[in-house]
Amino acid sequence: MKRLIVGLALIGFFAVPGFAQEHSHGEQAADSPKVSAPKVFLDKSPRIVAYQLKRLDNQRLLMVERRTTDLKFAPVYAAILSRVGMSPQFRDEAVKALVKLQESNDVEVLLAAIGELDAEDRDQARAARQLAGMLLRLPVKLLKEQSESLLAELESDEELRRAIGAAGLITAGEENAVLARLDQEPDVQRAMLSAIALLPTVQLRDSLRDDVLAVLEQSRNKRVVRAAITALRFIPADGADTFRRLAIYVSDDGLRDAAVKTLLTISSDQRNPETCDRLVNVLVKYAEDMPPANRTSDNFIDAMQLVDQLMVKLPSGLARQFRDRLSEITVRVIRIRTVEEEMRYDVPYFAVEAGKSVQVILENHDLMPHNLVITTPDSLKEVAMLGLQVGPDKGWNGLPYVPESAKVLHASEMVAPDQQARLTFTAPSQPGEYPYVCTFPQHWYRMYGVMVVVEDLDGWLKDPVEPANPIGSNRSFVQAWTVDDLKTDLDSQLRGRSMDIGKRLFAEASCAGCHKMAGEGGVIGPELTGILERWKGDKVGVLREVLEPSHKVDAKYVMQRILTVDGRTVTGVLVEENDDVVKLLTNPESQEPTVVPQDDIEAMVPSSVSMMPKALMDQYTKDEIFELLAYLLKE
Amino acid sequence: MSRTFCSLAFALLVTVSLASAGTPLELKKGDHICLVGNALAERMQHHNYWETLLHQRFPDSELTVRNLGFPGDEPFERIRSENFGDPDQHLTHSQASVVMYFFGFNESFAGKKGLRKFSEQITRLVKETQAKDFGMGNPRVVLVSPIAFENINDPNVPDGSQQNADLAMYTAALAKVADATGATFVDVFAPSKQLFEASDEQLTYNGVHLNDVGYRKLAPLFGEALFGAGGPTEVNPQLKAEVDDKNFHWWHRYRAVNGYSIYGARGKAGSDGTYNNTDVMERERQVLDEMTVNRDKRIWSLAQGKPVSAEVDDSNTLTFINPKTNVGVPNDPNIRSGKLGSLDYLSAEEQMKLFKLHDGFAIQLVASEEEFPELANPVALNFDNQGRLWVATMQSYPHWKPKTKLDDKILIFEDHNQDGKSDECKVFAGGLHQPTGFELGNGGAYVAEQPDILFLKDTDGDGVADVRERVLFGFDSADSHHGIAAFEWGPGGNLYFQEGTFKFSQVESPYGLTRLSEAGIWHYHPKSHRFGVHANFAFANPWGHCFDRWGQNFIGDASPGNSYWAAPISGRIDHPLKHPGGSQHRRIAKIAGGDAKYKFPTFYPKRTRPLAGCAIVSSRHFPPEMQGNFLVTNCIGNRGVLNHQVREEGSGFVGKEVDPIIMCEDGNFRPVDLQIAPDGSLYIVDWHNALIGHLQHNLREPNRDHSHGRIWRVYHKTRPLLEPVEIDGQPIAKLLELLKVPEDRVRYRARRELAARNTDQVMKALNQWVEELDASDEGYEHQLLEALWMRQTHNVVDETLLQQILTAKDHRARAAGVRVLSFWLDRVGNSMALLETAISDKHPRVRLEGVRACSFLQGDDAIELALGVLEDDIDDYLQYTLDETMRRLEQ
Repeated sequence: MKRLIVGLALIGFFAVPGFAQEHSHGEQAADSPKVSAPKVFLDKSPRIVAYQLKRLDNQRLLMVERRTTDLKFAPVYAAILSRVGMSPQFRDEAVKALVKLQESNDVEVLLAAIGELDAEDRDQARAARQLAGMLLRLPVKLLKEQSESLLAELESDEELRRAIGAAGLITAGEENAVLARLDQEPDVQRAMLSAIALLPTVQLRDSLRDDVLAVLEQSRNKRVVRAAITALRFIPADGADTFRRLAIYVSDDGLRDAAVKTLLTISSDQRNPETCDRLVNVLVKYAEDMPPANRTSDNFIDAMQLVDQLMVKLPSGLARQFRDRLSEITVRVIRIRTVEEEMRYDVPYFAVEAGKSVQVILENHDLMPHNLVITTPDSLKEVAMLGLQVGPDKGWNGLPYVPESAKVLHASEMVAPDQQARLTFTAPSQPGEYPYVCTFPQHWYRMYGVMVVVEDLDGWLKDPVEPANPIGSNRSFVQAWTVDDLKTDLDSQLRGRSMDIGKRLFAEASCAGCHKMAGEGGVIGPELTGILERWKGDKVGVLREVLEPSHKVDAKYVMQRILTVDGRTVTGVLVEENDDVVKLLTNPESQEPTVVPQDDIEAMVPSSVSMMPKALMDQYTKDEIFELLAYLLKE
Repeated sequence: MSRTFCSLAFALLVTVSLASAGTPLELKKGDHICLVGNALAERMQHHNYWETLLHQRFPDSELTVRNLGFPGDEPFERIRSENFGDPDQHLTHSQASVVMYFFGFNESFAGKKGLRKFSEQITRLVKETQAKDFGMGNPRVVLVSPIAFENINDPNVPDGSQQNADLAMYTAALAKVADATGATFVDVFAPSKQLFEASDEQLTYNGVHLNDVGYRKLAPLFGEALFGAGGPTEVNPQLKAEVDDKNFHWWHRYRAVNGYSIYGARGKAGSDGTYNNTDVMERERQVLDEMTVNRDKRIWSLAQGKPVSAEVDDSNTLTFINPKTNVGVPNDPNIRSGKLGSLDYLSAEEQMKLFKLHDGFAIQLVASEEEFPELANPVALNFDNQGRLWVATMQSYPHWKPKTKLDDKILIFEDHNQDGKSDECKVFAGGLHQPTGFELGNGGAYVAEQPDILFLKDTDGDGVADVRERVLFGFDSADSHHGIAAFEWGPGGNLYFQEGTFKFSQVESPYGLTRLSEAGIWHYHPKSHRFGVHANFAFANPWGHCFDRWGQNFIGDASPGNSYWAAPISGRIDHPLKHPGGSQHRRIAKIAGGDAKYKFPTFYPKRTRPLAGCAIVSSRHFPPEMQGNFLVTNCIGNRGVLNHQVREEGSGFVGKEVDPIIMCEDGNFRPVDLQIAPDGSLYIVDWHNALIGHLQHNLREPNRDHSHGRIWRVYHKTRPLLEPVEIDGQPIAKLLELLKVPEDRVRYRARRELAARNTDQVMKALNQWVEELDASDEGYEHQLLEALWMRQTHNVVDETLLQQILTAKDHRARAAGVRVLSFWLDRVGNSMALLETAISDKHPRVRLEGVRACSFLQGDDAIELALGVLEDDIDDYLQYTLDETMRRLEQ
C-alpha cells in the first residue's frame, strides 16, 4: 500500500474500541460486496411486500429494483422516503417517483410519509422533521394548492403532525387558517408555536412574533406558555424585548428551564443590565438552594452558563461578589459542544481566571468521536502531531491520540457520539492563550479553540479581547452558505475567475488533502478532475456537493463501519475485500490499511454520512467560493 | 529475537528430516504427550489400548500422557464454558513436549470447499505450536489423520463412500502440511479403512465413532503408523487397568462437571465467609492432579516390570478444604425466602400427614430411603415396558468427591403384589456420575452422564447392565444441575433431551458437527444417528418436556418457572444465533441476535417459580374434566404439583391454573419429576432435601443431603385404577392395536417397544393394521397419524400416508403431519407444494407448522413460501415463527 499523502483535514476515521454506539444514521447505496440484492415479491399482497421491505436495512432496501413505470414499485419508494437515516438524494427521488406513480403531488406524498412515522420514537421524529423540511421548501404555490391537506393535518392526533400542518399553512401564506383559531383551541396554539421552529426562513418566523406574544400573555395553560417561550428561541427579532419579557419566567419552577434556554440565545447587546442584575440574583439564589446532588443536571448547567454570561453586564465589584458566592457551591462550568457534521466546537474561546477551578464539559453532538486537549500556549500543532504518533492505543493514561508531553495540560477521553466528558481542573497561574484541540487524526485543522487565562476575569469579560487564532489562520466565519444562496445566476458569476486563485483556495480550504485535481492532491476522496463532465454539466449539482457533502455519497467513498464479533468497531474507507479479509483505511495518516479477517466480522455497515465535513466554505466569501468552483469546473 | 530465530531454525532442521524420511516420532525420556482435537482423541481415554501399548513399547521413557481432546474441536474453533481456559493454558498445565493433533473429521463435511481453509488453519496451528514453550522447550507436533468412515451396512446410515473421498482429501492435506512444517504425520485413515473392510465385527457403532473393539484393533496399527513396525500388539491387562484408573482421575479433573461453579462466574458463589466454590473445588482438582501423577508412576513401574502395591497410595496429596455451613446463619436469605426446608427430616409416615390433596385424591408412599437406602437423591423416573418403575439417583450431588466411590445409580423398583408399594429395589447400574436424566429404549437405557450420554444394556437378563457405551458425547459439563435432562421420546422416534445455560456443547455425528451454546433441546434419532438441535433458545435449565396426544410439545424452564409451547421456538436457527425471548437471552443477545428485551410468551401466566418437571394428564383413572391438564412440579415457591387447564387459542394454546393436585407442608418435599404410571395413577419423585438450589450453598456445603429420597403416588379414591397393559415382548400386531388406547403413556411405551423391533416386520404389520382401520371410527385420523409416526420412527418415508394426514379433517392431525414433513423435506418429492398447501391452511397452527418447516429449507423459494402466511391474519406466535424463519433463511 502506497503511503498516502494527506495534506489537510477531513474526516473522522477511527479504530478505537468502545465506540460502537455511532449514530444509526442509516446506510447508503453502496455496492458492498458483502450483501446481495434481496428478492422482494412485489406482486404479492401489500402485507407481504410491507413485511419484506420492513426487514431490509437501508442499504439493502436501496438495492431492491425500483422503477417509475409500474405502481407495484410504489411501496419500495414509500419505504425509502420514510426510512430513518436515508440520504436526501434518495428521498428526493422517492417523492418524484411516488408523485408520478400515484398521480399525486409532493405535498400529499410527503404528508403520507410523515404519517407513517412514529413521533414517539426519537429517530423517527427526527426523520419526520427532515421530511417536514422537504415539505416546507416546496414552492409556495404548490403548498397553497394543497392547503386542504395541510388543514387536515391540523386535526391529527399527533402533535408533530399538527405542527407540520400549521407550518405548511403558514409557509403557504394561509396563516389565517391557523391564527384565526388561536383564541379557542390550545391544540392549535401549540401547533402554531411548535411550527415556528420548523419554518424555513427567519422572515416567516419573525412575522409571527406578535402572535406568539399574544398567546404567551393570554394563556393560562403552562404547556402552551412553555411552547411560546420555546418558540421565541427561533424568533431573532427584537431580542431585547424578548429578554425583558422572559426574565420573569426564570422564577417559575415549571418554566425556568425553557426560559433559560431561550435567554441563552439572546445576544449580549440585547440584554438590559437591570434585568441582568435581577436575573443574576434569582439564579444565584436558585443555585444556592439546589441540592448538591442535582447540580450536574443539564438544566442546572444551562442556568449556570446563563448567569456566567449575565455577570458581564454587572459592575465588576458586584459580579465578583456573585462569583464568590457561586464558587462556594459549584465550580464554574464551561460547556463546549461539537457541531454535527461540521467538525468544530461551538465555543471558539472562553476565559478563566488564573489559579481558579473550572470544569469543561465536552458534549459530542457529532457523529464521530472527538476529544478535547488543552495545551500550553503555541503548542497546538505539536501536540496534535505527537498525538497522531501515539495512535489509538498507546496514549497518555491510555487516552487515544493523546501524547505524554509537558505541553499537554489536560485531556478528555475520546467522547463517542451523544456522550459527554468532564474535565475539572485548576486554571494555570500564568495568564496567556492556551489552545484546546481535538487530537483525533486530522481534526486539529478545524477543531480547536482558545482558553484565555486572565488575572481578572470580570475585568476581561467587561472588555474581552479575542485571542489570536492558534493555528495562524486569519479567517473568520462569513456565512453558513446554502445552495440557494449561491445558485442563482451561477453561470455569470463563474465567468472571469482565476484558475490560480482557485487552485490556491483548493489547497487552503483543505480540498487537496483528500481530492486529486489535475494530478495533485490526496486519494481518500474521489478525484475531481473532469468533474463537470461526470455531472453531465450540472454545475448546481457540483456546488451542492461542496456545500452538502452528505447529499449524495459516491459508493466507493462510503465510510464503512465494521462491528467485530468481539465488539470492536472499525471505521474507514474500503480498500479491498476478499473471502478472507476486509482492508479499510481507518485514518488518512495510515500507512497501511487495517486488515480485519472476515471471520471476525459481525456486520459491515456503510454510513449515510459523508466523511467530508460540511461548512468547509463558511469562512470563505461568495467570490472565493465562485473562484474555487470555477477551478473545479474548468474544461 | 535472534534466539527465537535459532530455535525455529533448529526445529525446522530436526523435524523436516523426520517427516521427509517418514521417520516415526522419536520420543525422549520424560516426554509429556498431550492429545488435542476431536472425539477420536477424546474417546481414547475411555478405551486405553493405544496408551497401554505405548507404555509397553517405551517402558523406560516414563511417558506422561494427558488427553485434552474435546469432541467437535477444530483448529481454531473450540467453544467452551466461561473461563475454562484456552488451549495454551491447558498445554502449559500439562507441560506438553509432544502435541498430537486430531483434526480433519468434522472439517471434512465442508468437502472440497473447506479444504483450503483447513490447510491454512492447520499450518498456522502447527507453526504457532512449534514456536511455543509449555515448560519443556518447543514442543514436537504430530498430525493424526481422521479415521475412515465404516460402512456398517445399515440403510439408515450413509455407507461412507462420499465421506471417505472427503476424508482422504483431508488426510492428504494434513500430510502436506506436515511436510511443509516439519510436523510428524500419522496416517490412520488408510489402516482404519483396511481394518473396517477386513473386519467381520462392526468397529464403530455409527460409522464414524469407534467402539471398544474398534479402539482395541486400531491401537497397534496406530502405534505402527507412529513409531514403525515392531511394537507390542497384545495389551497387558494389568497395565491397562492402571491406565484406566489414571485417566479416570484425569477425566474428572480436566472435564470436571460444575466448571461454571469452579472456575466460571459461580466460583465466587457458595462462600462460607472464608472459602468460596473456587477455593474448595480447585483444591479438589489439585488433588486429582496429584492422584493422576501417582498413577503415572505406577504405570511406569508396571511397564518396567516392577511390582506395585495393591492399593494406590494417595497419602501424599493435599488435604481437602471443608467449608462450613451457611444454613441458619443470622438473617439466612434461604430461610427468609422460604427456600430452606428443615434439617430435622421427617419420616415418610410423618411427612405423609402433611400433604393436602385435590378433591377426590389420595396419596401413598411407593418407596423411601427408609426401606431402600439406595434411594438417595432421586431425580428422574420412568416406567419400562414391563411396567416397572425406574429411578435415577444422584447421591453424590452436586459433585463426586475424589477418593470416594463414584456410585450414583439407576434403580429398578418392583411391586410384586401390585399394591402400589415397592417390594424390591434392584441396582440396574451403579458407578455413575450425576445421571441427571435417562430414558428407556432399544432394549436398554440412555443415561445422562455429563459430558456424555451412555447407553446401558442388560444382555443376560439379570436386571443389571452389562454393556456400557458412550453413544453421544461433547456435551458441556459446566454445571451438574443444568446437565442433560428431561429425556422424552417424540412420537416419531426422536429422543429429545435438554441442557441449560452456561453450556457450550459440540456434538459429532455421521452427518457432521452440531454446536449449541447457552441452552436448548437436542434431538437424536437412534436408527439413523441423525442428531441436531430442536429448540435453540436461551432457557435457564429446561427440566420439563412433554408431547400431547397430537404431537405438540411443551417445555418447562425450571429456574424461571416458565412454560412454553415449543413449535414457534423449534424452527431451525444455527449457532451462535438463538431464537430470542428466553430468560437468559438478554445476557447473550449481542451474540445470539434478536431483541434482547423480548420475552417469548409463556402459555399460561406463571404464578410461582420454579418448574422441575411436567406431564399431561392422560389417564381414564383421572376424572374426565382433568384430561389434558398440564401438571408441573414446584419445589421452591410451593411444594406441590400445580395443575393447569389448557385450551387451544389461535395458532397456539392457553392455560389457566386450577386447584393443585397436591401440596405439602413439609418444606423438604421437593417434587422434581412426575409421570402417569401404567395403572393410571400419578407418580412423583421427591428429591427430599432441606437445601435446594445449586448456587445458594457451597458445592461442599456440609448440610447438603446425600441420603433421603422418596417416591409418591397420587390416585383417585373412587375411580378404578387401570389394568396395566402388557407391552414387553408382545406381538407386533398387538402392540399396534395399543396405538388406539387413549392413554398417552401407553401409546408411548407401545411405540418405544415397536421402535426396537425389526423394521421390515413392523412395516409389514403396520400396512395390514392401516388397511384394517375403521374409517368411520372417531379416532381414525389419530390412528393414521400414529401409523405415520411409526414410519418416522423406523425411518421409512411414506408419501401416501403423509398426504392423507396433511388433508385430514382434524387440524391437529394436519399440523402433526407438517411436523413430520419437516423431517422429510429432502426425501418427499413434492415437499414444496405440500408446504404451500399447509401455509394456506384454514387453521393457524397448520400454517405455523408450515412456516416453521420452511426454516429447514434454503433460498428465495423458501422465503416466498413462508411469506405466503401473510395472506391470512397472523397472531403473535405466527409472527414470531415467521420472523425467525426469515431470520434463518436470511442467515
